[in-house]
Amino acid sequence: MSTTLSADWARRLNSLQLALVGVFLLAPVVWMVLASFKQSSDVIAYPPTLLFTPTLENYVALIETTPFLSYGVNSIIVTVGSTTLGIVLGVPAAFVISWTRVSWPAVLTLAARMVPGALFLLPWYILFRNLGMIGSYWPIILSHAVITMPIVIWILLPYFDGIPRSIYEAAQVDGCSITRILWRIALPLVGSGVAIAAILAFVFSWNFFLFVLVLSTSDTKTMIAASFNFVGEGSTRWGVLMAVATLIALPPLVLAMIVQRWLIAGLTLGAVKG
Amino acid sequence: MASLSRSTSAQITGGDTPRLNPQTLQLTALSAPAVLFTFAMIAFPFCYAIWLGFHSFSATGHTRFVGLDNYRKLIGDVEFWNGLYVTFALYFLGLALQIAGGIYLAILLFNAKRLSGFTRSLFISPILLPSAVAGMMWIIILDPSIGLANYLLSLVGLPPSEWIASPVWVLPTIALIDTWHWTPYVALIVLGGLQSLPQNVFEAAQIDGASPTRTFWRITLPLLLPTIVTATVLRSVDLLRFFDIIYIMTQGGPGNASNTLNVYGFKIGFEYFNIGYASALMLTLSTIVFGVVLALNRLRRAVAW
Amino acid sequence: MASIKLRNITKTFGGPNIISDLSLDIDDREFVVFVGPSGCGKSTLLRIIAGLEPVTEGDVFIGDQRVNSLPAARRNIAMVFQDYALYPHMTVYGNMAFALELRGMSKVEIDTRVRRAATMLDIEPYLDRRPKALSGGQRQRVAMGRAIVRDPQVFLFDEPLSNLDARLRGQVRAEIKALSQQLKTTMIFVTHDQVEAMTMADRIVVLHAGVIQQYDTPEQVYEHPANQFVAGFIGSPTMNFLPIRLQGDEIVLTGDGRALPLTDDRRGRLQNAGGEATLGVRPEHILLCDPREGIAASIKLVEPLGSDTMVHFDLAGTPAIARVDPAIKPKVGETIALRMAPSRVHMFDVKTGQVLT
Repeated sequence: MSTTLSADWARRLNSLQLALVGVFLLAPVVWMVLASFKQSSDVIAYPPTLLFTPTLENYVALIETTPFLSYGVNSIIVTVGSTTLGIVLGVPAAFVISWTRVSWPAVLTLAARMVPGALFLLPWYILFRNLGMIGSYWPIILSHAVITMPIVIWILLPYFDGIPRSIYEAAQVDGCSITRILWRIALPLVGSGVAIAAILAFVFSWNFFLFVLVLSTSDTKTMIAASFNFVGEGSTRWGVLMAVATLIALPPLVLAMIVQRWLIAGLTLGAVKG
Repeated sequence: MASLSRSTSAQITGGDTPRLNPQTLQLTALSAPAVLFTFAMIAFPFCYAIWLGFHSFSATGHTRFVGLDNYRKLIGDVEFWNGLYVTFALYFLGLALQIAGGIYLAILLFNAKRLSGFTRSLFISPILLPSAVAGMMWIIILDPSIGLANYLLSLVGLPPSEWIASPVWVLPTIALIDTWHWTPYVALIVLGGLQSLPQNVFEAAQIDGASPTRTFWRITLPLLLPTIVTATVLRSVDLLRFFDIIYIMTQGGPGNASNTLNVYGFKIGFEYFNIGYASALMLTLSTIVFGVVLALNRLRRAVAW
Repeated sequence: MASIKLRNITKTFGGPNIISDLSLDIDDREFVVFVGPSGCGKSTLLRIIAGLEPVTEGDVFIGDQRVNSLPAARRNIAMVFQDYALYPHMTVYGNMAFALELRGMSKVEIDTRVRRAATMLDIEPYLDRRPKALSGGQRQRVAMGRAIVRDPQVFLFDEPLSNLDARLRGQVRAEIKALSQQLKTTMIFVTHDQVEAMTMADRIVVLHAGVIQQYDTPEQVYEHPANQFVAGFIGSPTMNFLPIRLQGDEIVLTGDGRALPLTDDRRGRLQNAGGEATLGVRPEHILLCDPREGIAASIKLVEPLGSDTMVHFDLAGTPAIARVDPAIKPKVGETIALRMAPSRVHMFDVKTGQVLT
């Protein structure tokens, strides 16, 4: 009797702590979203208010006074482009790595994650400038593919490794070339893996700050790069700044909710088996 | 002797399994784009950066080989040593908070068996926010005059803080923000480790009469060590290259109180266009990161069970 | 339809040889079984013929064509895998049609062939199902169907029955044999189960340590094993082996010096082998007899199988088994008198294990 009672209390205590941690983790996000719907007088009110008349004026101002829609389009072009490139490069690479069991190329792509991005940015910038590519989307898409390709490879590797070898061999006996095995046998079997890899690649590319900071120009500026400029003038337009932040945060949050079950493996790049 | 050499040559011509059979050819073709990309975008720029580190570039576009001058300059550069201090102060502070917090949160999540996937994903949502967004939203919350943070302090009777505007508090504050951002990530990894622990060990401990506290310190934690080291590696790589949030919130200030090596290097390269010196600094930082990762990998092998 | 010739095949994965200098001829339309313990190289040999594994040295001929550098896809062979290796994302129909599709066959022709094979194997009702929705036995049939529709030169089977339960295994075994008589195609079947080898094969290849121990019909392999390994591997329960030697004019058990009544020609062979040998006799060739003329032994264990009863006993310090009529109702502790059918015993060289002739 007493043990079940104390177990009951232990569970309640656990839930309470969990709730407190949850508030600490989520409150800033909620505050940001609320602030984006506040009138400018409410944003700077002290003490801060929880009750206010919601308004869309910050979002309207954002669209009317800045080319934010075109920044959004730029963001989508860059993210979709680099995700596609990551898939196109990473899927066959992961298949070959799994087939040959030669894993050092996969490790090499991880090394890129350890080096400060600015180290690559200097040579990239010089190269892209000499090639006359600065001003186009290509430098940004290519640089973000350095982020997305390893994600795709590392997420897909366990999926490809999970296909029994004999299925590949049966296909060989049936008359498949290796390329055809990838298309007709392996890809359909790892379809869900490709979807998850694509979503995570999308999120990471969307969130990446450093490369667009340097490689984007006024025509190719993405939402994140543009938001950095808003910070400077932020003190006068906080509501607008929070509207920007909310809009940028929305796609990754929504996508992540969709794949939350597979998030662990993806986020740790295979370091932990979810 | 003659017959021996003849038989050898006969063997070579006889066993004509071609080196480049269609299979090898197709595997090469399939991996070629990724390999070419890796060389063009990662390996070549890395080597180019090493070359840049040995050169100096004047405003007139004149390039000069300077040997180790850039690295010598680094040793005499006060800002470099400050950056090194800031980087490591932030690293140890952030890491300690995130690992401890991550283990705590992981255990809470592990004990809450009946948690819906949606609720669980709420706990990890900070990870998914772009660091740029995290920086912007904390700027407002931490504003000294109207921010929510100081209001909360005043509610419990504490004096207001300058937060990121104070040279003393800027590093702990940024470490806290990063902890808010990445503790769920550590928790996810540790939770994965907890879920894969052999359940019968805990039952055995229960039968042996170990108290929950003792079980945690003597069984759970030692078994979790490899997972914790894995999380440490992943966080170290990011913490040692701390950039986004600082560049958005303080740009290294006030003064140089939050000027990490990565932020300092970026400014040298892209604000002062001192490409050679910036490359040398970034390579030094890369070496530090590699060194820490290698050391931690060795530690991981030591604590493996 | 084709014969297969292997010439001086050697295979190594870097370490010791998996297969050493092996040559083998398989006739057109023959059903050959590779049998041997695990690790003997039988599956590797099959995969070499399939083209899934390159040879280190030697030549492989299918028909009269040297196929060393021909990939599996172009050898016109079909293979049934141990785990069936069905394509999980395709229906049964899709699994069977896939290879034909790759060969650019017309839809009508594919349909005819798939339905004909499905009828033959009794799997028409499942054509639209995915492998996941099939039982083990059904999957096995689909794997066979996938091979049959191809109408290949050679069928290869890699332990296709080992994932089935015992009852189903006997049934499918009979079906494969019937199928082989119907299709009249060269077939190679790999197994570690000597019963499968004996019941299905036209000829058996007994492999051990990458070397062919014997290649002959099931009857020959059973009646006239080439060496002690084959003798011990084929037959269940396994053959009894007893050390014997020549003592004066008599052949005696080395263990206790008791004389064995064997034919005179054996004595000559034993003489040639230096007076010592290993005697091999199958449990079914140890007969009960009159206590006055037989060898006495004390029963240690009795295993009734219903149709027969296995009697375990020690003979001159070596454990041995006899298969007896259950009507005798032997009991543990009883002493029985035994003799060996003189024409059914084998003698093997002590050192090489080769049969003494």
